[in-house]
Amino acid sequence: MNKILSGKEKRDILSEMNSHYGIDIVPDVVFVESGKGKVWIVNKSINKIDISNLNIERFGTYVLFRDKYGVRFTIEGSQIFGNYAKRNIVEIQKTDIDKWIRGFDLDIETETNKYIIIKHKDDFLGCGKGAKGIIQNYLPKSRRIMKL
Amino acid sequence: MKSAFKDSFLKRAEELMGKESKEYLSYVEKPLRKSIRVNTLKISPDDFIKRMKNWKLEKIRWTDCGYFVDEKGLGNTLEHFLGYFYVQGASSMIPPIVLNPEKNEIILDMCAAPGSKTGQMAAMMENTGLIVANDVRLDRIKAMSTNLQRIGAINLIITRNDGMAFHRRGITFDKVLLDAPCSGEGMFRKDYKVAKYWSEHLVKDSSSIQKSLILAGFDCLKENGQMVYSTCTLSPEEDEEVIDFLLRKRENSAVEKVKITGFKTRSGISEWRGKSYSDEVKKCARIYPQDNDTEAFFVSKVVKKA
Repeated sequence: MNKILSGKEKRDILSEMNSHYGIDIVPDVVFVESGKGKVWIVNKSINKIDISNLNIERFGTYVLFRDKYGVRFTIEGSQIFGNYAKRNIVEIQKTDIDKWIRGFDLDIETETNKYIIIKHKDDFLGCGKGAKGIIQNYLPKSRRIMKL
Repeated sequence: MKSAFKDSFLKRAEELMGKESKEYLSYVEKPLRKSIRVNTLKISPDDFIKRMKNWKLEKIRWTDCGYFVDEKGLGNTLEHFLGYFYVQGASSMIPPIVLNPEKNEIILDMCAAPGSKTGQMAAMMENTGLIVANDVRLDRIKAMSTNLQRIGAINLIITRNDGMAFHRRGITFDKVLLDAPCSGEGMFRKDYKVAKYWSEHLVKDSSSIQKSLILAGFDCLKENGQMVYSTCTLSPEEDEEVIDFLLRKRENSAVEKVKITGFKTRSGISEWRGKSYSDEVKKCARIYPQDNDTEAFFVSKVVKKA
């Protein structure tokens, strides 16, 4: 069940983004959360129409997932928020891109055992999770490319 | 050699185009040129071109961010993974261009799946305003949802409602795009198998659905609102006849001339198989494959008078 988040609930997410990634922007958008920790963002223009009786399948773009390890950005979430991150962001080599987009973990040591933004130059590639000398890959199967 | 098309389709083509039908059919048999639209929500066309310097890109004349491309495996590229471009038919970029959605407007895309035109409009609106991307079939909505995620548009919601739902609930829009389900001869170049499903019966059935959809779309327009009605067929029953039906049913409807820079179009036809339509339908645009080497298409623009 999708729920449009209140101001306080939205601030909670932004605070988590700030404490972990150092992201201090406050986007003027509506946050929507599913019961499973998935968060979408959609323009405030949604308030201009009465959506109460519409059968809504999806709001805007899925940007992040929340669990006990913190905030994990989707590819699109990392593209929207990644430029504002000051920490917990790792620059990967070109040779690692191929592994990453095929869904494999990366042999990279990180200082955190929480989520970390993955980027290569100007390209943001979503989030992984630091774990014992590797970055675990969370790319959904539907987005993986088996052969570049 | 016997044609792959049904006799009834060949007869229709000849009735519609006369001597030109041979050229038309020769184009319909040709595979479609691949084309992409650069997703300007994520990258500028200039930066994309610099990045893809090894690709052979040819700019599509009628849009700022569309290119013909001569590459294989477009979906297996890093740039597709990142959502920097979207594979989209060159003529399917036309309806959003004609509708011209502007920043902060509220738009209804009535039959939105698979979402290519929705994504294009989201980019044209620079992620402002709101697009209600509607469809009725869940399988098509799922595919659209995946496609639009990659685009990264935050100015849309995806809904699953019948076309009449919006007017019934008093929701009105600045602009409506009705890219209606149709018998689909424009798709033959993209997927030859579609030709097998074409029939006169399908044309008749599609026309009936389109007539109810166009009224539903028109009724939820604000005063002075604009609607683009388009199909990927050249069957007059699904094109001019639907516009003529709207003009007869809604006195406050009017047709605007469709003009597309850099693109050859033909005027709508006002007579077909013994039926006469309003002369207003001549303002609509027929897109013949042989004119621009694209899919067949029909585009019209309707306004709701105050």
